[in-house]
Amino acid sequence: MLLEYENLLALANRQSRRGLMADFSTSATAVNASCGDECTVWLKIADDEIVDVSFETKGCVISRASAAAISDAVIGPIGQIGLMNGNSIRSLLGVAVSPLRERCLTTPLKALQDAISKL
Amino acid sequence: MTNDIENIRAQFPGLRRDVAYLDNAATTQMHQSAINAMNAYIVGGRSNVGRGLYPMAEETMSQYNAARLAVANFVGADGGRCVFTKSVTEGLNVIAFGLRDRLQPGDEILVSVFEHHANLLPWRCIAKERGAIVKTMPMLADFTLDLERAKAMMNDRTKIVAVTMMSNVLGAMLPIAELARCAHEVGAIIVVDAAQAAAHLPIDVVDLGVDALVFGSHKCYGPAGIAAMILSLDLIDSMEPMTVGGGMVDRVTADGATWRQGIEKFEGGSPNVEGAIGFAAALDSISFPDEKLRSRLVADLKSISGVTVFDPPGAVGIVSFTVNGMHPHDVADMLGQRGVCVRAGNHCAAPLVEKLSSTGTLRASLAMYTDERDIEALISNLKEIVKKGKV
Repeated sequence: MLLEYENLLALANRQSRRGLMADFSTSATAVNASCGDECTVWLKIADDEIVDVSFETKGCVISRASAAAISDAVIGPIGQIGLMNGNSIRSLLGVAVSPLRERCLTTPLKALQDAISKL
Repeated sequence: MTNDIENIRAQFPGLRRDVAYLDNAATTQMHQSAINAMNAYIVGGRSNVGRGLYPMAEETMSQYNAARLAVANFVGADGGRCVFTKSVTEGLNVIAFGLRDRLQPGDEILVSVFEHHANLLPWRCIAKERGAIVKTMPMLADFTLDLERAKAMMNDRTKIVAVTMMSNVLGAMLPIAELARCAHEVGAIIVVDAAQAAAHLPIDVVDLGVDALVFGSHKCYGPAGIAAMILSLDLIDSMEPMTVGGGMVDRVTADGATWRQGIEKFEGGSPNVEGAIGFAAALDSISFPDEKLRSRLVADLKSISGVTVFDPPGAVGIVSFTVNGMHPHDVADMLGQRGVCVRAGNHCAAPLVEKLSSTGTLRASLAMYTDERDIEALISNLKEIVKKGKV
């Protein structure tokens, strides 16, 4: 099945949960070295749970849509973050994404996992 | 002309796939002659070189040496100056690490802004190790080398000038002969990355006056996993090898070893014989891309609203471009789904691409088998993608 970019556009361009968060608990930036795209995540943590998240993503449709989908899914126990991978994000997006775009897909997740590891 | 290009295309089995292959700066399709030569060697019975004392080993040695001579001759050198490596990257690393002992703190290495990471990072590594400084020769606003600035940067502290002959991002050509002359005037060595140039124009290392030049097989219609570095006799004599072990030693004692003289010093381990044979066969069949196609590609891309083309004067074979409001990876992915193969990103030349676009570029690159249909497929599909909407 080919990826239909149009299906991801609205999610990629969504403005909610974007930008620097006030009083965040942890933050990290991940870079996709093959193109220079980058994603920064800010998390607010309380009692080992993510209670708020925001991203700033400079990148392609897939990386921006990935960040948006992840931000919808990760509110809850921080333990779930370590279990996520590229296929988890594919399920969230509901579209096929080529393995060649794995780094586009997972750069926001890498930022998220790096932020958790700083806690 | 149509028949000519059809005859050429028929020699590339990889073109039987129904795609417009425009990622030749990454890897070309393999010429049938290279496939045939490697096949004949393999099915005819293969052996190692420089070890066995039986006739089949002698045949292999003879084929390997003939391949070396052919590859060297392709760039105007003799076989005694040609060392096989696994890639251009490895060759440039061998040269850089072989030259590091010549550097003193404060010495300077000049690279150009056009360098592929393969001809940038090895120099940074040895500079860091030796306390030397890497300086970058800049480009002009038209994306060509600022030769006057480059000349002005050369002085008695300059020990190495490491420069690409042809940008893998822009197709821009660099004035190698002039840079070599200027480098030698200040007593520096000039090392040339010809990974892209070798498939696009004739090269003669003697005319260019360079001390080292590296080019590879898989961008010249041969197999992957083999490249050649052409070295001056001075470098062959004075550089230390990076890989030590079987095949390159003269004498090994209980607690020491001496290296063979000449090019054998740099070929530790069992060599890629079939690769060398395929490389030579591919070069024997090579012709250069039709540059009129590049001109047409540039003109057609410029005619699409929202497309920015980076087109240095005198460029050959490669065109980089961006689409306003669309990420290069997305465009390349969509083109790929439509059967058009291009590359997107920073093309392993991040310092250059960052000057062109914050998100990388798209790159279409030509080969000896590229024809009008490939260009038309790119242009028509790109127009559709752009029309569908900004993503």
